[in-house]
Amino acid sequence: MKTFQYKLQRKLDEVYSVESNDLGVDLLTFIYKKSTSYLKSLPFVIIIPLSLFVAVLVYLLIGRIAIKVTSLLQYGF
Amino acid sequence: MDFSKHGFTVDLLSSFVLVVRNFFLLTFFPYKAMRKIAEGKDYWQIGIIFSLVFIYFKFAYFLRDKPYPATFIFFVFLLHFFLSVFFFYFLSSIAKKNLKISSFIFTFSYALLPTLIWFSTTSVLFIVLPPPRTFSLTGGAFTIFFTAYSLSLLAWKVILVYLAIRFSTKLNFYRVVYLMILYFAWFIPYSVLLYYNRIFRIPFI
Repeated sequence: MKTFQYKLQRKLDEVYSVESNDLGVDLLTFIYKKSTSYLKSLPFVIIIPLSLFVAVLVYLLIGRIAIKVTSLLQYGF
Repeated sequence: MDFSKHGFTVDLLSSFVLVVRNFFLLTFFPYKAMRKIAEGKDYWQIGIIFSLVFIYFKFAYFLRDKPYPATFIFFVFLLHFFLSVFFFYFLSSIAKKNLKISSFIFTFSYALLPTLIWFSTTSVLFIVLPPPRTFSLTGGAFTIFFTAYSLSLLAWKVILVYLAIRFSTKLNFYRVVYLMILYFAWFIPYSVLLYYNRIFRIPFI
């Protein structure tokens, strides 16, 4: 029981180590919390399809420039 | 089993396991993982991450044209890593008291992982598929893949950096964004300086 209480206290200290974000305006706070909830767990479920969509869009809009930039980035290391 | 005789090896191995575990946790649950990492005390993990960075610089040395020695590049990297850590630590100390510098070191070290992955894979792709890319179907397909891959890692990097600053400084959203703007105000000119001196084309941070 003491061990459980100790672990619970440690967990609560960890969870409440930072104050909850408040952006000052209720609507902004709501938008912030809604959008970040998808990024707190399994963010790549959102990030990968979105990145692929943006990459295809960029290629369709500025294909030749995108290819040149890719060649430049490959020297970037 | 008596592990006391092999204390160093056991510590190193367990820290390595923790680094791998934290890597997967940062991939799937970055918020909870970074929150836990901010309370870290095991400096072997930092040593392992920096060792991986040093190994990368040694590897990249053989691919570049007339490069600086890998050890020199590594020390430049350490310089701007600790400059960044101390920048955020001192500025956030103005608003918040009793901050631990170890939180900054741990969170910022783990936030290096997307950078390390991008640089390593770009180096390997430089060997496997050397540039330049052509205006063909395969060139276009690779461009889409590489752009999507780079954007994904960049998004992950931004998330980890935001979480690193948030959990080390314990400041709210606006102040974290403000600190990041102040950071880029000096880091961008510094990166341009590194570029013109042919140390880093893209800053390793």
